[in-house]
Amino acid sequence: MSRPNQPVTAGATELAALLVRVADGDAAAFQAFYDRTSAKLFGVILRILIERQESEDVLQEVYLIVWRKAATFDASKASPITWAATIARNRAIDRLRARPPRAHVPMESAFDSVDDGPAQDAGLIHDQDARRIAVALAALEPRHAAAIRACYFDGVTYDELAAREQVPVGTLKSWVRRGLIRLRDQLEGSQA
Amino acid sequence: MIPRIELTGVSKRFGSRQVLDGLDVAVMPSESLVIIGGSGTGKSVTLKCILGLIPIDAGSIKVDGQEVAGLKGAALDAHRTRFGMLFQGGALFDSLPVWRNISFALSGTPADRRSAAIDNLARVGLAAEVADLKSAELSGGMQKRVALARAIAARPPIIFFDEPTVGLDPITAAVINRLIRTLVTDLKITAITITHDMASVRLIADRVAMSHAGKIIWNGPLAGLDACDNAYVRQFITGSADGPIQMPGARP
Repeated sequence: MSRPNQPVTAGATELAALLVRVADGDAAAFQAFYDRTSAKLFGVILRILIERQESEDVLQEVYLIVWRKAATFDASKASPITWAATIARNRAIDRLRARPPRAHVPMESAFDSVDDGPAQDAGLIHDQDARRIAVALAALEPRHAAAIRACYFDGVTYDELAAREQVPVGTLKSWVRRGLIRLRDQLEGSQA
Repeated sequence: MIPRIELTGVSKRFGSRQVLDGLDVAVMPSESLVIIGGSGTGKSVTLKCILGLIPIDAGSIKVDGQEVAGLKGAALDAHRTRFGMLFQGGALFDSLPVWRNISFALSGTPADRRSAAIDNLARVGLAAEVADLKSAELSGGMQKRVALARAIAARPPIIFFDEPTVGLDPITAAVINRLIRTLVTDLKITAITITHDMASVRLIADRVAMSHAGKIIWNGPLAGLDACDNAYVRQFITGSADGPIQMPGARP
């Protein structure tokens, strides 16, 4: 039985088939699994440990575990890549905890460190989007706009809002739906 | 006479916590019941169960003699139209002017709804000029009044007041308490107020119920409150740290 929220992709099916062969001791399948997943797993580990040399050590341990434990992989519980990434994350965290206190990262690794924050112009683009949405919301019937704000920006549920405002849930939903349709029309119009 | 609202043996568990544990309480038509009790004794959950926002595990909830627990869809909508609600903190739409907040649930042309809003503003002692202000421009006391005007606007027969004086100074709180009492009396509203403010109890209640550990452990007319010899009630109304009520997590 597969989980409804995890669409089974073609890639996941192939990886799962490879794992089945790995469980039988098929070295070629293991090589193929390594080729397809190692870059991702290395990224997972490197983000936790920062140090490249140590991350490579951990990556090797992770594939040793994959080789030994492929038979325990259960496709109904997780996708193959999620399963492997979980092993990688756990091993990396174990290594992090085992580090002596105040371990230092070599200075030269600072040159390679990646800024994970939003790109420099993302804030500007976000501001522009927010302004366009505010303008579009202001043009809606005020009750529709207020219901959209409450449900989408403030996280109020339809049920709570209906009870608070003494409006039937169905009425609220139709206000939100009509509001969203107008909103989409407006935003598409302003883009052209 | 049939009670307007009657809860019998209502139980509700969240995980390992038994929030309501066989709660019994009834309110007669046009009566004002105030439920007192410490934080986390299930007062707000009780109101949400009556509104059908939280399903109950066991027991019965009747409104005008009709079972309402488990209602769904249109029947639930119809059930809810009988209730007005004053929420903690007011919960107004910041983006809408006062009159649109008050008339949110009303039908009719904008002009009709605006004039209905102004009538309700007058009921809570606010001038017509307030109608066009944004709720963010109002003081805490004025926001409470606007929220009151909204709660009565559709003239629901029953109104719940959830901690109506929380966050207000004592003078503003007294004004709000008196206003609630006046509105409840004038509009013949059946009211349930939950609070731990004893000033609210004395100004709003016809009858008082004390909630503790998911049950109503005492209830009686306001006049009997001070003569009551229930140790829990005595501790609550005197605000003493010593007594049978233990704070969760406190050492004995």
